[in-house]
Amino acid sequence: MEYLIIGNSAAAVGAIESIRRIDQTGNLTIVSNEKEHVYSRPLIAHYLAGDVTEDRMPYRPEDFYQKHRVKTLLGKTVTDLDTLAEQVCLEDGTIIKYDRLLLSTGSKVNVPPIAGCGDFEGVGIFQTYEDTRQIIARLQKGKRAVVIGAGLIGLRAAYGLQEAGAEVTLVELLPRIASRVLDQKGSEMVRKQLEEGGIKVITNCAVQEITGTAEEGVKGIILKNGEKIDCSVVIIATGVAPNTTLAENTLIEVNMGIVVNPYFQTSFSNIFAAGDVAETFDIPRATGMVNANWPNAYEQGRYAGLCMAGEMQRYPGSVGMNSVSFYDVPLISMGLFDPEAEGIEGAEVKVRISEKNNIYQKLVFKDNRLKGAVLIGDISYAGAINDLIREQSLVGIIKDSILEEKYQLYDYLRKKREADVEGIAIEWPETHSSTRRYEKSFNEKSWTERELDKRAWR
Amino acid sequence: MAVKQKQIYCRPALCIGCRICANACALTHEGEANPRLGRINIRQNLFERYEYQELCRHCEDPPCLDACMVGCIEKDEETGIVTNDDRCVGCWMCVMVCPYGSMKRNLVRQMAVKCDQCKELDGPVCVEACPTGALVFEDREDVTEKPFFTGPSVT
Repeated sequence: MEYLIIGNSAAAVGAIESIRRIDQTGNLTIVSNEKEHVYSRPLIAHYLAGDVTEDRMPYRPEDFYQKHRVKTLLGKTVTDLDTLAEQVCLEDGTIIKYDRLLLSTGSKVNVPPIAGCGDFEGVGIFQTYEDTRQIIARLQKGKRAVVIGAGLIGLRAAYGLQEAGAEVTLVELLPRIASRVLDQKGSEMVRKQLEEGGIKVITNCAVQEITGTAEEGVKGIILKNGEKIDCSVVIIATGVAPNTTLAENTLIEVNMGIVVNPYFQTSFSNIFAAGDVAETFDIPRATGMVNANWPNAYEQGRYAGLCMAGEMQRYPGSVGMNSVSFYDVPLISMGLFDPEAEGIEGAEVKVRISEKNNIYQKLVFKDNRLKGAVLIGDISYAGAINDLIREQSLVGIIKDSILEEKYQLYDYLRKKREADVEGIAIEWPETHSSTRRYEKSFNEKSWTERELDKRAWR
Repeated sequence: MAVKQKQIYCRPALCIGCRICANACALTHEGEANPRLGRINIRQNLFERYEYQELCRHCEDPPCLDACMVGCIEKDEETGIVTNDDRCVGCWMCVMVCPYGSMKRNLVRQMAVKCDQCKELDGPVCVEACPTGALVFEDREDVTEKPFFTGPSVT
């Protein structure tokens, strides 16, 4: 069996590991346009900030490819995909045949049509290891930086630049920052944190032009309102889109991303797609969506690898989720967190705010199920909340107690899991009936023995 | 390929919620007698009627391993123990996905910490420290919890 994987990041690693769990003999080939050993994309913000050194960047150990017997073709771009002949063509003309193909090409950055964009040295995107190296090299020339676009990548880039010692200005076209990952109140809080930390935030403003000279690179930017900002580094982070270039000239169905079934098959049963490029089932919204983040990508890759090797495991679906922290204040958003913005009716919202302690928690319920959450400052029990969203279990009894008495939450989850397993007696059926508890305590053998021991000793 | 693995189990009937297990854990791993830093947390309150167990189940397919963007969470193939190491950068992705709440945050070091069943010692210190014998370290056949497992069904 010839397995071919295009892309070399989370989904690819997940697929390699799970293919090798089942199929020890098939030939595995991986093609990627990056030269690096597999590294962690989200970590580049930490690398830029300087709190992660180069030797900590690899996502898997140096002998990962040898151990899993993977043939690597790094630094090569796939130019053409022929679905009928079952082969791909590289830019140097090499043709590779496959039996099972995984497209895990990730996402590409949407570069907006700004005048001067791409003309000067020092203007770049923030996506790969190489981009980060260039930004760090460029920071030697001057410590003023502008980040265009205040999505999650923009915020991380700005935070990383500031940690690296730069003076950062964040420019956003929309009225508020991080509109894809936070609701109104949450983004106000994050904005306040960033401004207190020393990052200048400009919202509701477009960039007119990027200015500079050919010799010295970028000099500054001019905003639509005429304001000029001097800088020596410009990072463009105006959003990403699934990198579906390979699938576009084929019969593979592409909607937002490459459409896949629960077994990660695309329109062709031997071509699989996983990671940021795949449009999977979104559990809280119950529609197809591209949920692009690291945990989902790895998990999808793992499932796709199992399916590629013939062990068909149904993927339950993904939940959009993000976790970052700015100035040691953690921030997590999950699922459908802003029902007003998405125009969803009948949603019920529960909020807990403590301005003094920088805490904001919001839960969104609909049809007696938890659909999404925003947690800022206090992220304890985030795992249990995530599990409620993922399983879409009925929350009637505990709806009011999730934010207050969180002990009950884990107890509820544990009992639910126990009840899921059929044919096995639930060891501890009810916490509320104390009589049964004591009966059980006294009937248990070891307890009785202990009591007897005690009496004998007396 | 389910590994037969000894696990820490709590027998709720015997637990009195003293949190000595958490204290012993924090003392061993963090060098501080503070039950909040313990990697195990089992509370039982007979009067307010709740009990919950935050302890690592060492899942077959750990969600924390999927989520870790640094790649510092590993599952040992032979022993089945899930561990993380000091490369952690504190992104709390693992905290976000663990349905049992067993990924703990050390806010001083800004790192996630988790139970490693005291693999370098003789046995888990929490089990040794438990005064009522509620915690046991054994290999159980009939686990009442549904484990996180999505791997190959063929063993």
